[in-house]
Amino acid sequence: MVGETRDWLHKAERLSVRDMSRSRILRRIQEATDSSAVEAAKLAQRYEEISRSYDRIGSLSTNAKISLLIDRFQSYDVVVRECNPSTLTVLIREQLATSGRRTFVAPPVVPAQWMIAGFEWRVDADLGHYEVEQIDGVVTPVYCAIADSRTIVLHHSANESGRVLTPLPDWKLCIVFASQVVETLPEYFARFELMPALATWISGPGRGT
Amino acid sequence: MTSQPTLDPTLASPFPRAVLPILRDSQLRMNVAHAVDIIQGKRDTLVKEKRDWEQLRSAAAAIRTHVLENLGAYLEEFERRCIARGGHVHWAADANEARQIVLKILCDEGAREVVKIKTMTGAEINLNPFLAAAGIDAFETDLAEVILQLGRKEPSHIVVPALHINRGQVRDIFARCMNIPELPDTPEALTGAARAFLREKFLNISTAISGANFLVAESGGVSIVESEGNGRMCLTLPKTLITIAGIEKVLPRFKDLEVMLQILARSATGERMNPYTSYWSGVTSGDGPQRLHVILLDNGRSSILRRSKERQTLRCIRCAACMNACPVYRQTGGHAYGSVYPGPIGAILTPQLLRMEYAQSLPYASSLCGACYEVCPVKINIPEVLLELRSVAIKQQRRSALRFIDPLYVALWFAGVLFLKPRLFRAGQRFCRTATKFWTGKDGWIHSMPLIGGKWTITRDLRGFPSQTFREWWEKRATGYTRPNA
Repeated sequence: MVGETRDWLHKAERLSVRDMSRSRILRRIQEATDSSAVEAAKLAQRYEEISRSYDRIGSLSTNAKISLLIDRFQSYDVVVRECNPSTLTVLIREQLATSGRRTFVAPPVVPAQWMIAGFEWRVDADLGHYEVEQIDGVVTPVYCAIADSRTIVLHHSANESGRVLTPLPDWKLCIVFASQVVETLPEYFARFELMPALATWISGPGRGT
Repeated sequence: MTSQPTLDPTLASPFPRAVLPILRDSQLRMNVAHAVDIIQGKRDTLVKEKRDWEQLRSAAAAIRTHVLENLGAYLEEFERRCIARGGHVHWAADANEARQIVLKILCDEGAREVVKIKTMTGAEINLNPFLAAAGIDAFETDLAEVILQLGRKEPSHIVVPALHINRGQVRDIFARCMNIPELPDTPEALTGAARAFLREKFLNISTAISGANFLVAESGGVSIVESEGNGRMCLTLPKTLITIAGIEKVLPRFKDLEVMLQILARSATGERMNPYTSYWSGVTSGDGPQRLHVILLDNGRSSILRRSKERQTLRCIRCAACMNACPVYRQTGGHAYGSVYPGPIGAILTPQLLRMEYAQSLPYASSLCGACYEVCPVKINIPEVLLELRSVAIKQQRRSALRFIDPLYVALWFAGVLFLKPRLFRAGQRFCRTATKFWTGKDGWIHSMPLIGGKWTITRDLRGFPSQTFREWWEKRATGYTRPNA
């Protein structure tokens, strides 16, 4: 009983310290900015007034976009292969075979035929750290790819690999459909209505396909 | 060898004194100039390539200005959304509060070890020594930070903190601290050694500490950019993540990242996008840390907000383009600034974070050439703020009684009196003409003067006083002169 009371007191004390700092900081900000509690509508209006005259949409045709993306990838030692939907499975098999690796992981929701027989497969769901360590490679679709900055975008939904699998392991096979290629970063941000809860934008060095 | 510099602005020597040992260290200056040249070159190429660069800069500056004008509203929105998505939000008025909050969370977790992503706010609040004193081992994971931590050295740049150390020196540090005497000094061998050293930490330590590049009010989300992959290890493997973010870091909407990420990468490292950018909003079951804490750090920022000219300092997104462009920083590197924030932005940010009670010499560590303003992606007029802070520093000096033993102050005070009274002014002119006659050369120039006058003539010549002033000439000439139409 006594312990409980003390615990409660302790909690209350902590709460009040937090609230004190919070209100102190917010009060200082309010005094400094002289903007006593702006209404949401007013704030939104002010936000909309920000001038944005930068390029939103690129100027390249679909084919030019794709070749720019490939160029930019190749300049960074990323191996790029092109194929039709009908030959995708064959190409995946070929890439897995040439990698010389055995154990791969794929997101929970991918076409079953991508998980080529003859290799060991893990499903990307609740993998422990040491299980991740045992995996040689990742096969995953992506949310989209940005040509200008050679960026692979993942939103980590059920049909894309999870965040842990972006730094580990060091071999990845990303499957990008032509319809997913955009030219500029603002084009990517215009692609969705609902914000993703998670996102990773990968533009850096990486050996993969 | 230079002694270990201090980056605590309350203890550091004034800039002109701190810089002396560095100016004698030619190895350090060579390392700095070399590294800065490379980044600057890459940045210039990519900025030239970008046709809408100026428009992006304007939009970025406008977004950041809008945030600062409505900071309270956006912080509250961030807090609400972050909590709604399962995060915890803490408010720290100063460095000590922030450190105590971190310690409290670590104690609740029972954590004896933490992994860290490079964080400027962490450095600002001096977190590592504090945690060490509390018996908690904090492991840096950014390659440059690992070098500094193992080598017990101080950072000298905010994006590439070990740029003053060259590859050979890195090899020596790793060989000694990781016990690999045969380690070659190739980049691959060095990164390989660091990776092996870190991997075990990543897999075993369940608490991470990070900073934040951006907070998103609309979603309660946090974004971090990085170049190595260590960040994503820290952000995804541990169970608990503590993020320490300055209150000014917030952006209104997720979409604003389309501007910020474009300008940040080009300005910071000369890339079209940062190699890896992570974004998360709250807790996602089955992916990444399940306990998320965000500490909103004031530590002097709200007092900067109050002053209209200085407020723009808080637009900063910590890209470091200003230090790469600065002719002073290129000569001195970061240590002379005596702060974790060096270069032009440090020269305005550090004294302000300390409410102008320390580091008052920093606003003078600039030639006011404006190169920093020209490259700043959020258009902070650093020279304007420098001048404003100089005037604040001068006003402080004026209040001090010691001013009357400063010869420059007394001389200028006397000049002020002289220039106000025409008769005194004329007498002064005559006096100076006679008094300086001895030092004036045949060519009409004064090449050297004794005492305080020498401060001027040590680096430049002074025009001698003419044998006749304008007034004297005019009075003589005016005789016999008739005004037209009179």
